[in-house]
Amino acid sequence: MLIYALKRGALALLVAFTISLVAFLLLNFATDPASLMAGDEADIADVELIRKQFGFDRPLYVQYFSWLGSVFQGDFGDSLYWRSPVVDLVVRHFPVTLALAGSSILVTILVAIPLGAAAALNPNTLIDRIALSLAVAAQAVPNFWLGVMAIMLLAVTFPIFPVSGAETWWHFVLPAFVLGLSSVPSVMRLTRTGLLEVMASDYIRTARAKGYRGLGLLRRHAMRNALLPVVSILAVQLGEKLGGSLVTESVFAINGLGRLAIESIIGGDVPTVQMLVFIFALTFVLFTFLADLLNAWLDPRIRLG
Amino acid sequence: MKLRWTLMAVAATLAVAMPAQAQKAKDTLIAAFPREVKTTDGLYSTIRENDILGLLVDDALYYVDPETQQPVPLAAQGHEFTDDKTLVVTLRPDVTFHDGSPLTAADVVYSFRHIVSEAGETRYATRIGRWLESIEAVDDTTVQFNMKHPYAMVLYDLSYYSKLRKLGAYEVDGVITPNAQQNQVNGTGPYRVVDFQPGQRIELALHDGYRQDSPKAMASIQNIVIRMIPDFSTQAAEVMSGGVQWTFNVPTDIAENVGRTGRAQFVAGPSMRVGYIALDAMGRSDPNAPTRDVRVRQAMNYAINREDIVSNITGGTARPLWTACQPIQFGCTEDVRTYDYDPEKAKALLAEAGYAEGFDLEYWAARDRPIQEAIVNYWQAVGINVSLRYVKSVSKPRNAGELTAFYGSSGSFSIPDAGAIMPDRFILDVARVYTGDQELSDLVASANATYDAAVREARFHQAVKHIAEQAYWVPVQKYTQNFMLSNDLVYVQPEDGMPRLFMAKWK
Repeated sequence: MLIYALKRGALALLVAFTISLVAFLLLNFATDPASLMAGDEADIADVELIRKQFGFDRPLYVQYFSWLGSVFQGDFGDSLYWRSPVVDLVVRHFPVTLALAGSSILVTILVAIPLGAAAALNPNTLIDRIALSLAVAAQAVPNFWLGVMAIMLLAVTFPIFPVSGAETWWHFVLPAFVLGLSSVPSVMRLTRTGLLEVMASDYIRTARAKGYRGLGLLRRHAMRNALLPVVSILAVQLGEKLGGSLVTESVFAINGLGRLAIESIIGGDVPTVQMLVFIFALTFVLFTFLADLLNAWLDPRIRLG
Repeated sequence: MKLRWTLMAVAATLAVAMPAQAQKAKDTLIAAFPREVKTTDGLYSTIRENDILGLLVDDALYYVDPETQQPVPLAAQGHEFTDDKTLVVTLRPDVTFHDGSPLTAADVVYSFRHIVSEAGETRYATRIGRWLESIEAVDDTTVQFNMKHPYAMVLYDLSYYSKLRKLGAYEVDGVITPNAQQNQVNGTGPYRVVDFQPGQRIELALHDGYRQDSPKAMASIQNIVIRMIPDFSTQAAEVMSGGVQWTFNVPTDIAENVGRTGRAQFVAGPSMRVGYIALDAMGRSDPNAPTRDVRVRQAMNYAINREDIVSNITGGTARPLWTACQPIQFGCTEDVRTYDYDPEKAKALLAEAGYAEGFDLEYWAARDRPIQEAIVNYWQAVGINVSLRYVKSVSKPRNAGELTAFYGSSGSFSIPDAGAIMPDRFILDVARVYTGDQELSDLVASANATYDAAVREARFHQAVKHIAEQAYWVPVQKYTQNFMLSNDLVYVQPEDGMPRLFMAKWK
């Protein structure tokens, strides 16, 4: 198990560094960080001054390895725009993203699992069809549209929730709903499939023979086994959401990692983009890794094979 | 049942109306900015959001009067040119920083030396350093600017770029620290920074010690909160629900729709920004570039339907542009050769220039994609095989001389003078210039090197007429600037397009 974990950990680091290299090259080939930093109206001489001040005039490989060298010494550098350590920036933006990711996963769980269970308990019925249709609809609707519609309906026409911001928990309701809904289809379908498989197994038949029916059967016997794959996909979804939701954070003016990433990319803030890409990749890989570990722990065939 | 629905509708309406009323009752204006403000110190940012903030928290030596568009003394009491390269400015004795300390000549000298110093890393080092040779304090309330050459725009530069800082403001433990004023700038303006959450919100309050005879003394709202909301649809929702009372630079379609609901106001105001296409007339990008031929450049002008672009795409107060500056600027004139939409004439000119079958053209742009797509279609219609390169920024290839045609825009820093836009675009030692016209370059340079208004005006007029005749540009449009305001707010946008938030008042 330890060797398996070490192998996966090394692979995770490799993936994170590769992604950071690709991001670095894309950022430098697609844009001119000095011009972006200087702004639309800046004098050309100012752009050149910035290029010199921040070392953008050095060859790309020198810039990248200089960054990499600092990272290995635990220094992610300073943000070119915010003029503060990148680590401080990330630490400042992370709690909001964590709150949004956590609350959206809660929405996913509260919507997808009951929906999946209802569909599994009533296969090929109207309930099953409705649940599947809802899941497909949730998958098809883009976040930005759903976000704006939710705002117009529940914050403007019926002003129940605040339009934007992240000052209180009340502010997180709409964005959590929008972000959480996007994960509902996969979780719901996995719950349904898992439950259908479990419900056909011998021990469920035994439980039925002992008199268990309906919710009692579901809660005490079926759900525990059916939810194992669901837990691993939820871990991966949480990893994704902790990377920040670019669209949802923008629509709801939430100042999390997603918005920090957008602003840094637009502004050519190379050190911040580098660290964010590194973190996003690492978080995603880490949660995938945790899911793998979970599966390996649950199923000996994986860790032994 | 009917009564229940009516009550719900009334409750909803009241709830919507309440936040705006609440803000008025609390005398707190909430404004929304689309881009993140990263610092409260305007010396370290050139984005328009920081210009707006700067006018609230900083008083420069001069101020552009929104009525006359002329620089008037603000922290200064007056000035005198002792010769054409020496400007002596007298300070008002009653200007105080937000920490209560008085503004002295030593502070002004410190501020300008910091602005131009390499260690200061300010965004205006080049602009001010271009004309400022040195600065010295004559006495406690008098400073002397020694200039490298006569510079007609000096008072405008002292209006927008001369943020005044307390002596030693950037020194932390004896080290020059550019971000020392980042979170709470100690300015001299009518508002002081109470709280700053970078990229999220700024809270301002009226500065108690602000003098009442200042040109900016009309500031009446006690508190201003600036929230950063990047999405314009979200801004619209906030304005309609009363969460925000003032927004700017809103796309016309969104602002119009909000205005139609009656739940907020749509105000289209003037903008100093102009949009144009620069053509490579000197062959920097390619010695055989078709755009070296004046007939090709004129054809490209005739091929564009500016009226359709402004009415169908930009909207608001946008208007077609025919000249190489914003017509409200001093020295600018619309009495130039114009190229009304005439695709047949464009085709004829192309044929005359030997391009009856058209030619291949890469057209670069970094903003206003719908407009760029329209331009591509217009040019394709007369036979030019255009491919659009829509990128994040054109400045790198542009400055390297690699582009044959590119879209540019300029807001002239809202300075109502042709001297704010033309030198950077027509003087040959500037990297973005593609005219290759030495005579024009000398003419534009000479216009900014004299203080004689009549001479300046005549030289700029001559320059813009020549530019139009030679079709160095395809001038496209004068931009609009749209605002969404809550129904209980009065705000009139000044002609120069620079939003002055302190002019907002409750109805």
